[in-house]
Amino acid sequence: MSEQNLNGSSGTNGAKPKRSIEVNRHATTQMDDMALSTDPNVLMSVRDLQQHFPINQGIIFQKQVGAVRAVDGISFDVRKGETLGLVGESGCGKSTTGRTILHLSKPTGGKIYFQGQDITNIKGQELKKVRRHMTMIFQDPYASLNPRLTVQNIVSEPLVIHGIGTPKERSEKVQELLELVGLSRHYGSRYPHEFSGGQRQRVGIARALAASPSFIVADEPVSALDVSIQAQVVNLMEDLQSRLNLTYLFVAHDLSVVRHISNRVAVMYLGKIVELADRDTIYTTPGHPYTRALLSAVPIPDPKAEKQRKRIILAGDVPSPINPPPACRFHTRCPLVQQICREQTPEFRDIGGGHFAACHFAEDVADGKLAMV
Amino acid sequence: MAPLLEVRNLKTQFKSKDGVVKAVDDVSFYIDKGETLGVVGESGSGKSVTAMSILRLVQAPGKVVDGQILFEGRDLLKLDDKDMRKVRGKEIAMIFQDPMTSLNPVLTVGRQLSEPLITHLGLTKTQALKESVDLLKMVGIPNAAERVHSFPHHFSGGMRQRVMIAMALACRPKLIIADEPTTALDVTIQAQILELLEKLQAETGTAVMLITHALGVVAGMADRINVMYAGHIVETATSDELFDNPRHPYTMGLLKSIPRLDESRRGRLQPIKGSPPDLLDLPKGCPFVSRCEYALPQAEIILPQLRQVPSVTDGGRSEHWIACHSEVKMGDPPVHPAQEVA
Repeated sequence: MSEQNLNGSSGTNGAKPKRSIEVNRHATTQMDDMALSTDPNVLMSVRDLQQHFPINQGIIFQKQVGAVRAVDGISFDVRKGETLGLVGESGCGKSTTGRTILHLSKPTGGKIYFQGQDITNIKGQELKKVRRHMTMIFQDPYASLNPRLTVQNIVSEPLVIHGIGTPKERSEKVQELLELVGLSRHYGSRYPHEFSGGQRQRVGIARALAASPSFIVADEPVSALDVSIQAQVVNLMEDLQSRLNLTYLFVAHDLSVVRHISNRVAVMYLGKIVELADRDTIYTTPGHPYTRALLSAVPIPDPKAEKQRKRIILAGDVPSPINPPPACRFHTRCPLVQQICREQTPEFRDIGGGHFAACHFAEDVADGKLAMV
Repeated sequence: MAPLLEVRNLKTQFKSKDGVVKAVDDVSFYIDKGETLGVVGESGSGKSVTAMSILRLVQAPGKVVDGQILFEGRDLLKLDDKDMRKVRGKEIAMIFQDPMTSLNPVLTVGRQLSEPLITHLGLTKTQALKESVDLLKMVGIPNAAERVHSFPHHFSGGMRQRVMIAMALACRPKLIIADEPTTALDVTIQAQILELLEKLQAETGTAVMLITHALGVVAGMADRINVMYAGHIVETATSDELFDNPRHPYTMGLLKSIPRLDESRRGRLQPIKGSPPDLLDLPKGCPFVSRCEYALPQAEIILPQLRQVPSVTDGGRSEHWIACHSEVKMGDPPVHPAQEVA
C-alpha cells in the first residue's frame, strides 16, 4: 500500500502501537494558526474551514435567523499518497467537509489549498482546471449513476468535459478504465441497471479515475454494499492507490474499515475535528474522550473479545449543530467533564508525534490516567 | 422441554412474472424461552422474510407455501385471522429497522403505545396512558410524562427506536423479533439500544430473535446464531462455537473479509469472490458453489442438507450444524483460490 510513499512521517507504523515519541518534523506546527505548511509532501490543506448553511424565515422578505454550523473551523493536511480517514456520526459534518473541499458547495469561511495554491475562491476556467485533479466517489451506487446513460457515456463524461482525447481515444480509455476496476472491457454499451451494487460502485470508481486525478474524496464508498462485497471494493481502492499514486480522503462511519484503509484518521464531532493521529495511535491510545467512547461502541465479531470489553455508553443524543454547546462541544455528553470544559474551548493541539487532540485533558486520556469506565 | 418457537420446513415464495423467488426455502430452527437467537445474512438471504412469515405478515405476491410454525405447540399457520391478531403484539412483538417509517406520524406516541394495551389487555384509555408513561420510563426516555404527548417527529432516531422497543414490550410478549434494530442508528446510539435490549431482556425474560447483517452485533448479543444464505440456513451453532470454529465456507469467508477494529492492519482483506446469487436463477446444488473456495464436485448438483458436526466449545457438547458437503476448517488452503475480478 501507500505506506512506502509516506516517507516515514506517519510516526507509528504498525509495529509499535504505543504513542510514538519520535519527533515528527512535519506535524509539529500548530494547526489552528493560519500559516500554511510548506511541506512539499502535503497535497491538500484546509485551514479553519467553515461551512454554515443559513436558516431563513419569511416567504417574501427572507431574513436569516440562524445557521446550521455543519463544519465549524477545521484544519488539516492531506499528504501525497496517503489515505486520510474522516470519521464521525451522522450530522458531524464529515460529508460536508468532503464536498466543500471539492468546491461542490462554497465555504463560508477559511481557506483550501491544493498543491500549495489557494483554491478557496477560484471560479470558471481556473476552477475547471483544478477540478480535473480532484474527484469524488459517492456512497450510493444506485443514485450516483444516471440510469439513462450507458456505462461508456458515464465513464467518459469527465473526459468530454475536460476535452481530453478524440472520441476514439476516449472510447479506448473507457475500456482501459473498465478493465482497471475489474470489469469486462465490453461493458461500455450496458446500462447501470444491468449491474449489481458492487459492479456499479466499480463503474463509479472508473468515472472518478477517468481524468487521471491525484486526489479523490470517497464519501462512504462501501457502506451501501453487502458485507461480502465491501472487501472487494476496499481492496480495489487500495490497488488503484498504489498503481496510480492516488491520495484519498476516505469519509466513513465504519471505524473498522477506516482503521484498515487509512494511514491517518481524523475524528469529527459536531462540526469540529476533535482528534487526528495515525491509525494505530488513534485506535490504541486515543486522546479524546469522544474517540474513546466511539471506539468502545463498535461491536467486534468475536464473543470472547466482546465479553472482555467495557463499553462506554454516552448519555443522550448529539446536540443540534444550529446551537452547539459553548466551550468544548462534547461537554454535555462527556463522562470526564470538568468545570473548565464548560468555560474554555480546548485547543486542537499536538500532544506528541503528530497526535492532535482537542481536549483539556488529552494527555491523561491517552495515557489512561483518566479512566472512563 | 419444548422450545418456545419451532419453525419446521418453512417455505416462503414470491411469484413474479420472471419466475418464482424462493425467499425462504425449507428452513427449520427453534428458539428457547428467554434466549437470544441471532440471524445473520446479507440482503436477500431471507432473514427478514423468515421473520415476516412467523408473524404471517408476508404480503402478496409472497406466500408461505409450506411448513409449520409452532409457537408453544400451536401452529401459527393454521390459526384464523382473529386468533393470529391476538398473537401479534401480545405473544410475539416486532421491532423494525426504521423507526421513522414504522411509527405513525399523525398519532402521539402515547396513542400508539396505548393501542396494544387497550386491544390486548383490555385497559381503559386512562390506564393505558399511565402504563405508556411507565413504559417510556423503562426504556430511558427522560420526562416521560410529558413526552408521551409528543409526536414521533419530535424524537431523534435513537429515541424513536426506544419508543419502538417500549411498544414491543407493552404486552410483555414471550418473543420479540428485532429486524435490524440498530442498522439505521449511529454506533454510540447503537450501543445504547443494544444495552437497553439486553437489560430489558434480563428483566422480563423475553426471548429475542435478532436479525442483522452485522456479525459484531450478534457476537455480543446472541446465545445461538443462524447464518442464512440465499434462503437457506447454512450454519447454526452457539455464538462462541460459530466464531471459534466456523465450518461453512460462507461463514468463514465473511469472518475473513471484514476488518476488525481491535486489530492492526494485517495486509489485504480477503473478500468472498463474486456476488450474491440471483434468487430467480439459483444453481441446482449449493447456492454458494460459484463463490466457494472449497466446493466439491457434488456441490454443483446436490443441495447439501444441514448435518451435525463436532463442536469444540463447551466440552464438545454445544450444537453445531452446517449445510455443506466439504469438511473444512478456518485456515485450510483453498481448493479454488479466489480471483479478484468480479
